[in-house]
Parts: sequence; C-alpha cells; structure tokens
Amino acid sequence: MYADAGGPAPSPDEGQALRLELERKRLSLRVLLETAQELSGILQPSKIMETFLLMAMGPIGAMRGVAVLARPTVCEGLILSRGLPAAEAAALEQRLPGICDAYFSYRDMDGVFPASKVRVIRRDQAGGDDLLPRGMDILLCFSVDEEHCGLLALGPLLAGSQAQADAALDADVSSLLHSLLHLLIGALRGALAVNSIRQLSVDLGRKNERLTEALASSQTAQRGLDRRVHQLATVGELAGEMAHLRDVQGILDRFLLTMLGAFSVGCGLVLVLDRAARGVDLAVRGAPDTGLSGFAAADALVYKAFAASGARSVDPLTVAPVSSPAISLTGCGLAFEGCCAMYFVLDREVQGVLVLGPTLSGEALQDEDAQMVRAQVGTLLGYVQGARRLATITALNEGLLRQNEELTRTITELTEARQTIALLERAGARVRSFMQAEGQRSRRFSWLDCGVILVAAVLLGFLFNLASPNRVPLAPEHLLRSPAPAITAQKARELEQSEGALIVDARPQAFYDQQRVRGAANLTPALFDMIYLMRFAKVPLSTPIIVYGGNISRRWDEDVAARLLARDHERVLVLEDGLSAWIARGYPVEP
Amino acid sequence: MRRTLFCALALGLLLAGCRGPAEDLAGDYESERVDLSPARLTLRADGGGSLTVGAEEAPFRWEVREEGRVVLHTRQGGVLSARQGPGMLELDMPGVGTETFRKKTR
Repeated sequence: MYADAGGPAPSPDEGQALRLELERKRLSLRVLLETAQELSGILQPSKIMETFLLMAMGPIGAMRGVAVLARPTVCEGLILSRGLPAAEAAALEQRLPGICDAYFSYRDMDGVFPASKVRVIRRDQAGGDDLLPRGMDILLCFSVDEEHCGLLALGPLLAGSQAQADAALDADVSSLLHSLLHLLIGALRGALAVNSIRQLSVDLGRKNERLTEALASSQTAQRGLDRRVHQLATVGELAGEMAHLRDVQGILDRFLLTMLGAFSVGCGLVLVLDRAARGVDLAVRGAPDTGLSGFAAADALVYKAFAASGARSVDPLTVAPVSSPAISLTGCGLAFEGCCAMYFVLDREVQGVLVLGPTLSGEALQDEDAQMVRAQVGTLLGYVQGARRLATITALNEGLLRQNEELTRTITELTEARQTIALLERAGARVRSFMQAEGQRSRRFSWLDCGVILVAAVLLGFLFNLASPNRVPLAPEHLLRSPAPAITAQKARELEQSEGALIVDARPQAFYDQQRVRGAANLTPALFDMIYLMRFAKVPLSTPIIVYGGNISRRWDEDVAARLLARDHERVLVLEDGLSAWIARGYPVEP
Repeated sequence: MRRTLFCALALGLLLAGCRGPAEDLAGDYESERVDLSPARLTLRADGGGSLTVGAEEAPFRWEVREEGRVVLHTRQGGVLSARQGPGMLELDMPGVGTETFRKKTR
C-alpha cells in the first residue's frame, strides 16, 4: 500500500486519499480503544450490550440499533434497542423466540456453535425480515460461547445511500464492526465467566450450608446412635446379670440401677405390689424412701399410675406409659419429680410402676428412649415373673421336703413300733408260756412250800425289826401297859374350869388343825420329845392333864398319856370317847 | 517359800470350795425365848443332832432339802421343818409356833 522511498512520488490526489485512509484507520483504532475502555470493568452482560450498542452506533452513523444476547437452546435472552419508539421496542422484546429461530438456526447445522464467529448477514438472506424494524440492513451474528449467541442490527445510516453503505461495509466499516464485535465477545465472555463463577460460588456456598447442616444432622444422629448402642449394650449386660438373680428385690435393684445409668437419670424407683399377699417389693435410688414400702402408699401410687396410663384392662404382661407423670403422680409420696413412668401388670393381683426422675443433663427423654424404657420394662416382667415362680417352686419343694422328712420320721416310728410290737409279741409269748408253765406248776402247789416261805418271811422280818433302831414293838405298847385313868367329858370340863386342867390333843397335826377342844395343845407321840421340851417342860407335875385323840387302830391318847406318866406327871387322864364325847356335850371347840 | 504359800492357799481354797451346805449349817443354835431354860439346838456335820432344854435332850437326824429347808427327823418318826436365815434357824413346831434359834459363834 505505501510506496518505496526510491519509487515515484504520489500525486496530490493519491496523497489526499492516503491521508484520509490513515485518518479513518486512526479513528477506527480510537473507537476500538474507547470501546475497550468502556467495556472493561463491566460485569453485567446487559450493561455491556447497552454500552456496546451506543459505542457501535456512533462510529457507524446508524440511527437505530438493536442488540440481542440469547441462549438459543432454551430461547432465553435479552433484547436492547436504541432509536426505536417505545411501543416498537416493547413489541420487539416479545419476538425473541422468532429471532432465535430466524437468525440462530445455523446452530443446528453441525450441533455446535462456532466459537467467536462473526457472520455478516444480509437482510434479504435472513428468514426473519419482519422481525426487526425497517431500515436495519446491517446484521451481524456472533457466538459468545457454546451457549450464548448474539445479534447486532444497525441502520439506517445517517449519510449516503444504501449503495454507499454497502461499499462502506465492504471495507473499513466491516473491519471496525468485526473488531468491535470481538471486543464485545471478549467482554461478554469475561462477564459471563465472572457471573458463572459467582453463581458457582453461590451454589457452592449453598451446598456448603447444606453440607454443614447434613454434617450436624449426621452428628446428632451419630450421638443418638451412640446413646442407643450404649443403652443396648447396658441392657444386654443387664439381661446377663438378671439371669443369675433369683429374688425379686435383687432383680428390681439391679434393673433400676441399670436404667438410671443407661438413660443418665439421677433418681428413680421401681415398685411391685402383690395385692393378694399384701406385699411390696420396692427399689429406690437417688431419693429417700418416703413410705412407699408400706402397702397402702404403694397401692395408691400403683392405682394413680393405672389411671394415668390409659390402660383399661389388667391383662398379664401389659406395659403402658403413664402420661404426664409429674402431674398425675403428685401426692403419692414420690420424693422426686417423675419425668417418665411406666405402669405394668404381671397378673391380676401383681402390678407395679417404674418412675424415672429428670436426666442429669436436664433434657427430657426422647420418644425413642421412652420406647426403649417400655421394652425394658417388658423384659423386667419376664424376670420378675420367673423369680416369683421360682420362689413358689422353692416353697413347694421345701414343703415337699418337710413332708418327706415327716414321712421318713413316720416310717421310722412305724418301723420302731413294728419292732416294739414284735418284741412285745415275743415278750407276750414268753409271758404266756411262762404263765402256762406257772399254771402247770401251780397245779403242783404244796402247803409245805407255802409254810416254808411264810416262816422264812416272818423270821427275816423279825430279825430286821430287831436290828433296826426304829423298830416297832411286836405288840402295841398300850396293850402291854396298864391303861391311864379315864375321865368323862363332863368331868373333864369341870376339872378344866375348876383346876385349870391342861387339855392335850394327841392326834397328828392335820386332825388338830381341822377341829380341836378350845385351848387344847397338840402333842403327838411322833414329836413328843421335842414338843414336850419346848412347851411342857415348865408345866408343874401336879397340874392335871387330860389327853384325847385316838381310834380303833391307833391310840395316840394312850401313848401320850403313858409318856406323860413316865415323866412323873401326877394326874394324867384320858378323855372317854375322845373329841366326839366333848362335842356331844356341846363344850367349846375351835376353830 | 512363795511356792509353798501358794500351794497352801490353793489347798485352803479347794477345801473351802468342797464344803457343802451341811457343813455351813452345822453348829450350835440357841433359842431366843427367855421364859425357857437355855434351849440349844445342835446340828452335827454327820447328820445327827439334838434339842437340849435344861438337862434333857431329844436326839434327831437332819438333812437339807433341795429347796433349802432343813428337815429334822425324830426318833419316833416325826418330822419338823425349819427355814434358814442369816445365822439362824426358824423351827416350825405344831401347836407351839415358830421357834427362832440363833447360831452361836465359836
């Protein structure tokens, strides 16, 4: 295009043309620079399109302009216009699907958009002639990326005819528009990329939030699972331990301790009430026993739990949760506030209740925990029922053992009795045989044998009596000695009153105590020596003494009278007919 | 010397421990009655005894029953009962009453 230094100098017309050419190029570069400066820093595609439309219309000299940025695959996009009436601009915005079909149909040719490709389309070559306003003869389609396409429509131009416009487009204007469109494509790609990055960042933030929520949820679920695993492990250990327990009280203690540990509860109680036996098995932990071991208080608590549980029958092995235990079980003697309670039935006569207090963390037990407690109470029922049946069986066995012992003892006694009977039978047989022998021998009785035995017995008795210091006389002494002088009752009474005669009752003390002459002294032969020394030693020997007391076989009065006479008493008299004669006379007696 | 003394003490305690109630009761007792010549009740350790009033004496045998009562058996077959007291005997005599005999210290 430029002439060499050694060539011929250009003519003035050629120099003017060259200068105009350079001026146009400088103007084009300046437009490109200003457009690039305006578009740099804008991140909104609509703002870029709007700015670009203004920057493109000026250098071209177009009176109107339309810029379209669309996503043909979904028929979405935006349409900007300049120099159009408002109604026409509004109508143009409604034609986006038609514009997409008319001007971006080439996308279906090979399935992909041509990257950064700018095509100049003549108005009469496009199928959508009635879509764009009249006069817009400069049409340029371009692709921004794989999704976005654009359309730039300009016209009519301010100067020259359509032919001049065609000529301009063929040269510098076309080059300028291509360069401007490349700037536009670069700016749009950058803006779309930034927007995509922003959208990705927002999406990433949302996904991060969802992930954080999911992580928190999974951690909560993990804690719940850990707690459930701990509860199941504890309950498993509980089952192993309770399998070795045999008494109800021990099972209740162990069960309550495990429940408090498994559910992190500070206090609780479990109670089994036997209405038939009027007995209570109670286990309390973390709180004092407030009298619930008594039958009446326990019965009231179980009844309130039954009423609040919603159970309408007492079917065996029933477990029902107690609703609002803190309210429904008030006034039952609980030393703590019940947060979870279960009413259970072993059989018609044996019922019970489990009450758990607040957790150590202060959080309420969840529904899953309550379900676990209910299931474990069901397990408890099995163990308690087993223990009660074992106790019953043990009691029956003990009863059988006692009966066996009694039966064994009875059998032993019967055996001994049989042996005794056999022995007695043998003894009886011997006695019978002996008696038979004696009977046979008695038939051989002889008077000589009898006489010899009698003489020997008399002789032995005589010798024994002779040798004994307390021997008895062979004949009654009163028969050998002369009897003491006798006196009638009347004379005796007179002698007592006139001379103060001393009356002596010689009978034994029992007769004396029964009835005696008033004022009589008791002096029996058996105690004569000692009584005489203690009472009669000072009696003057001249005092008359009247003695009574005797019967047909025993003459105590004669014996005593003889002994008094032997002690030199001068007047010893024996009352005739004794006490009966005295009484017959009506004389005083005592008592 | 000390061993001899210990043995003597042990023997004394043994002998004292061997003494029965009969040995404790044996001795002479005197009646508290003033209207009577000195009445003396003698309980010998061999089970014999006597009641002496003035110059007269009534022999008997005695024993201690399980309930602590002292029973006197006269030669004629009679039986008298006496209660023990601190240093004395209360003798129940039919028709006479209770006679108290205090033990004479040796």
